[in-house]
Amino acid sequence: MQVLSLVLKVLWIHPASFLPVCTMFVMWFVKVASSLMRTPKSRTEQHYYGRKQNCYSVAIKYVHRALRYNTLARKLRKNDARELWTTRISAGCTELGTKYPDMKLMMDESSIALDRNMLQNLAIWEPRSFRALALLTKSRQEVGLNSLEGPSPVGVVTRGML
Amino acid sequence: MAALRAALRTCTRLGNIAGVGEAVARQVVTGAPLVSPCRGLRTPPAISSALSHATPWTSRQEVVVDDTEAERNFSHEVIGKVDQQVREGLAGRLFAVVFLQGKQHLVTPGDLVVVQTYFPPNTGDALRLEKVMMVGSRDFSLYGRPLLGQDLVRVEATVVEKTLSHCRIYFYNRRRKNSRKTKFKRETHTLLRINRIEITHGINEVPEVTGVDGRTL
Repeated sequence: MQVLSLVLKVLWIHPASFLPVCTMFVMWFVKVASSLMRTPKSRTEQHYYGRKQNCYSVAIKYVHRALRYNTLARKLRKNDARELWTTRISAGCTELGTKYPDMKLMMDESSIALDRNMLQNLAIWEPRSFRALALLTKSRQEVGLNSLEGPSPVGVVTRGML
Repeated sequence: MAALRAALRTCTRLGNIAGVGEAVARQVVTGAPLVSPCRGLRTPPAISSALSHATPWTSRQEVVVDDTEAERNFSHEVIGKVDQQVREGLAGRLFAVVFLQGKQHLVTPGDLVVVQTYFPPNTGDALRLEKVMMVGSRDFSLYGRPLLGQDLVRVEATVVEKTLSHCRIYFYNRRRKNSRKTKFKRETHTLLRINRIEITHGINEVPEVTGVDGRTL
């Protein structure tokens, strides 16, 4: 169990995608306490401890929980993935001297519609293209002479400050 | 004292000029506390030890170089180089970000793409993926805003396989409430093999008529 969880963490396999064949659909017609001994090896409760592995009435509760978690985790996987992508893009931006919100703003203003998945792929596998986006972000942030944005020089008091 | 008298002489001669008071202050600041006997001259206040960190007012003017011409030349040069690579076919392996069935895929020739929705094309059909959001090679990237022109990039794919996914179990249980629901679902998977990605014409060409892509009337 510990080895399995370690392997899952290293490979980032989400619980939503790792569930062997469920036993209750194999042994629905014989609900005896130790009937699971005769079922095939590839069952959900195969790696559980003690009677949870060998007795139907004990195991079925844990199998239900596992299936319920599996169902709920399919939605959570999407949220987790998006969070991971955001972290990766943010890391790439920090490496290149920009920030993720600034890059998002630049992309919205320029109508570049690449999503977070693609941005993180570029950051990892196409670093030159990602660097081009970072440079675009920085150049968009430069304040021109006629711009009303940016800080006022020292000693100048504008109406907005009062 | 002699310095102060010299300063007085300057300000009476020069009259009411703002910058002179500053010059006077600089001369006199080092020694005795400042006295401002000059009429009509705006002298700065006494600089005590508490304000010793404050620098006197300096000019904030800078000379700004007009570099629009240089920037334009630079961008033309870069576009020219990319254009040359594209025309002569020296770009090498291209990758593209392709929009398909609501999802974006980063593809190169030889990749397999799995489409997990209802997808009508059958096994063996040759497809052209038209919505290309980005194209890149080792030395350049072209970003669409949001899509690149259909005439610019050509991405060709073949349908390799049409199968069903593994059996997904949707299990809902409200414990101790005698409420349980089980659903089995297998989704259709279509595998596409990306055959080639090609930039069809040079990037510096502007078509005569714009805004008519994909229209029939």
